[in-house]
Amino acid sequence: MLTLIGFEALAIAIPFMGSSSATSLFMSVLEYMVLAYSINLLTGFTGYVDFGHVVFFGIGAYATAVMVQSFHALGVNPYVFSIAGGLMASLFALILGAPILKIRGAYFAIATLGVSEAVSVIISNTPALGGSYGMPLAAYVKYDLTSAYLSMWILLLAAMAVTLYVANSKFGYGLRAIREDEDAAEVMGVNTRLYKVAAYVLSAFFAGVAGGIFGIVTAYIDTGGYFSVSKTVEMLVAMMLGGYGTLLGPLIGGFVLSLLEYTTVVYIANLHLLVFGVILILLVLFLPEGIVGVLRRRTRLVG
Amino acid sequence: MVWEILAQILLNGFFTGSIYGLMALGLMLIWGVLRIINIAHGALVILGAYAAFWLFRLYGLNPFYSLPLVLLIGFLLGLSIHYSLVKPILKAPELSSLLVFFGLSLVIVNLMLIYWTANVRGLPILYPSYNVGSVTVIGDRLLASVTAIVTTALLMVFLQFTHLGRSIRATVQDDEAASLMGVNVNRIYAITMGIGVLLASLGGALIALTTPFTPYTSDIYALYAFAVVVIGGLGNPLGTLLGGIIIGEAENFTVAYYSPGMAPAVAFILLVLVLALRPRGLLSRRR
Amino acid sequence: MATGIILEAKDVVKRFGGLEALRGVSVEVGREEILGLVGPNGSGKTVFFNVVTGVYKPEGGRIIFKGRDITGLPPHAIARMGIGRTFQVPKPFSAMSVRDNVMIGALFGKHGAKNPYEAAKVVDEVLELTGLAGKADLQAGLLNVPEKRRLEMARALASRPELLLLDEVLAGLTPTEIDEALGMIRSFRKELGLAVIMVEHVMRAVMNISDRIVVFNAGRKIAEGSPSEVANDQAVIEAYLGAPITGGGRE
Repeated sequence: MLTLIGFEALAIAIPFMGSSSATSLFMSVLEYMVLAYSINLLTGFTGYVDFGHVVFFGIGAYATAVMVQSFHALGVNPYVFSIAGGLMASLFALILGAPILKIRGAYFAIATLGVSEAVSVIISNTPALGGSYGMPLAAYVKYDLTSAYLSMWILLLAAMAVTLYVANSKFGYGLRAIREDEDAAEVMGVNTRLYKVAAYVLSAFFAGVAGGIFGIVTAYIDTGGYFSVSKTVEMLVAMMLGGYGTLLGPLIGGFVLSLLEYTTVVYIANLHLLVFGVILILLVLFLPEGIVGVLRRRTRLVG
Repeated sequence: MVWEILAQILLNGFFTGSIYGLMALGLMLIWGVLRIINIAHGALVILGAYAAFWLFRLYGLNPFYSLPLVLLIGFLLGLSIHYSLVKPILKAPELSSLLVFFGLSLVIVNLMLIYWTANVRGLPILYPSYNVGSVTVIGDRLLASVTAIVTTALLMVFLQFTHLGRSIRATVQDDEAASLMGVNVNRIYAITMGIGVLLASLGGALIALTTPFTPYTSDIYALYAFAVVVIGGLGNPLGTLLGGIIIGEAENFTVAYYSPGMAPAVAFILLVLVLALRPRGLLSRRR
Repeated sequence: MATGIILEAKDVVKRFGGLEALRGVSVEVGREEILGLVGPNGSGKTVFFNVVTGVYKPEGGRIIFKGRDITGLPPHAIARMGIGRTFQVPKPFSAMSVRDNVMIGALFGKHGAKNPYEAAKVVDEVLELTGLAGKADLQAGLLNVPEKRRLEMARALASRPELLLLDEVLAGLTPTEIDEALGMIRSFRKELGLAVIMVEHVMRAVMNISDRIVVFNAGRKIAEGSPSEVANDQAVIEAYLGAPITGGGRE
């Protein structure tokens, strides 16, 4: 845990020390963490496995890109527009939530995958959004890694604060009751429909803002990169590895996985996804509570 | 003229649709018998496509001649998946099997990418095409479609008239009752996994014959297979074949009258709509 | 005992496909009354609970609770008006602690607390009352069967209901455990002033504790009255295949 804190301190200082390759590594660490917190708010707390969570990342990126294109003349820092990206993702979750969250278990997972692929296909066939060529943003934004980095930090802290609040609130108790037994929760007075949709909307917001920030920093978005199933995989595995529905799990899982990706990607392009697949299988078979769960058991045994 | 175009679209839709139906049969069987949604099904289909492709490329084997080998590999692969991954989590919550198969899919797809690259593969045209009036019948597609229909029929005969097939159907209905009636449910599970993956590789071989593919197409075929099963229902191969044909037709009409790029969206939207209308799943009437 | 009606079910009809599970039953419960609801398996008792709590929407009839028509309201809204229940097959939130299970009741019931800190007092009281205080930090899934049934009651009580529906809470308990549970149910009424409907197969217990008994058979109410009246009712005896039900029945 101490090394983690040390790392975070180092990470905050990095962009001010001027090393841009290190900064982009830390950007990816932050991305993993934020996205793991995002999916954790839905899947971790309610047990609804979202195989299409990347759709919010993508919608956030596209909405932000449209805002940047339309309002770049205002001269404000473009990263502000990523908030609009988050709101757009939340709006989508709000509209989609009521019908799709009626679907339970594995059927929900498949339906979300279908939605995310359908949205991706529709966008890549929409000329106004660049179609299959994507949207270049280089003409509207200047390269500003420090702003991107600070935005991601603010987003991560916000995601942690919201998770901390949810974990200890009435809302969080209701969500966990839904995860354990949705019918019993409803009969005990939990407004399950409202709670599920609220969790969906909240989790979509963080993925949407992250998509917006990455769209600006890479100055180019397309459906291949911003709706890829492997991004959902990264979120899910990071959450599972750290520990499902916990406060620190996404932080630890995101940290470990992004470093793993960084070290393996050097050797072979898709090696990290192969490794993630193996990790996912091993986690389910041998370590379903993730790293935080193991730490907790250890400390209980010791204390 | 309009009628001839319509006939051509209908025929194309029927051909692709019957292949979709065949490709989804294995998913339907595993889903029905083990109550597990094999999200790695698309990856297994594409693995079958690669098997047919490499046997042709390296040894010049026609995919129909190499079929016995491809099917045997599929069956053995299914058995080994059952004993290594499925058996330990049969009693675990649904989430576990979902995530394990998701992991398996990642492993297969990325191994294929690493060893066989993302290059688009496909078999050359092997059989001649015919013209009936102004309607073109592509030979490879015709043969693939006939294979799909014959396989569906054989599977129905197997499920209806053999002891093993009847045990499988009993397990689809209610595994506890089946086990009380003396069916060795664990053996049925293992055999079903074998047959399911065998059917996936057969579907893959037909896809290799008719459509270009890469490791990345796995996800698309997984989703198509889900859409087919969701529309066609569990337990009856004929339903699966019809589900496939519905999607094939919907897709081909979209290509012809709207936009080729939008074709995959049609299947996904059908999938989501059917799920939204039957949120408790396909077996909600049981109990 | 009864000072006014708390629940009134009028001519309730519930069908599943072609099957009529409830064929127009009417049941009244008075405030602070303990009502026993008995009948053979499949006579519609649990279906009746599911209709009252909003899990099933009835095809006909009305449910009036404290003078308000609650027919067709969603289950969570009915729970918040003050109807608590237990499940025939206990449904604890297995991965959560016993305390957190009870906390859900306290947070989402009638006068649900705004946050876990506010609810803590109610939770402690209920844990004490149901004898689960010693097990508060244990995972609910690890409890044994009688403890799981007590947890069911504890969760329902923490929601501060005015009407408590108990679905076979005595099943599988030893005679000593049954006596304990009956004592507990009596004390709920005395200390919390609530009305109870008990679905029960353990005849000795239900005859002993109920103020009044209603008998269902094949989706109809076939008898109603004091325990001794019902025990000697000809229709009831026939429904139970001629077996005298005092002291016998299913235990």
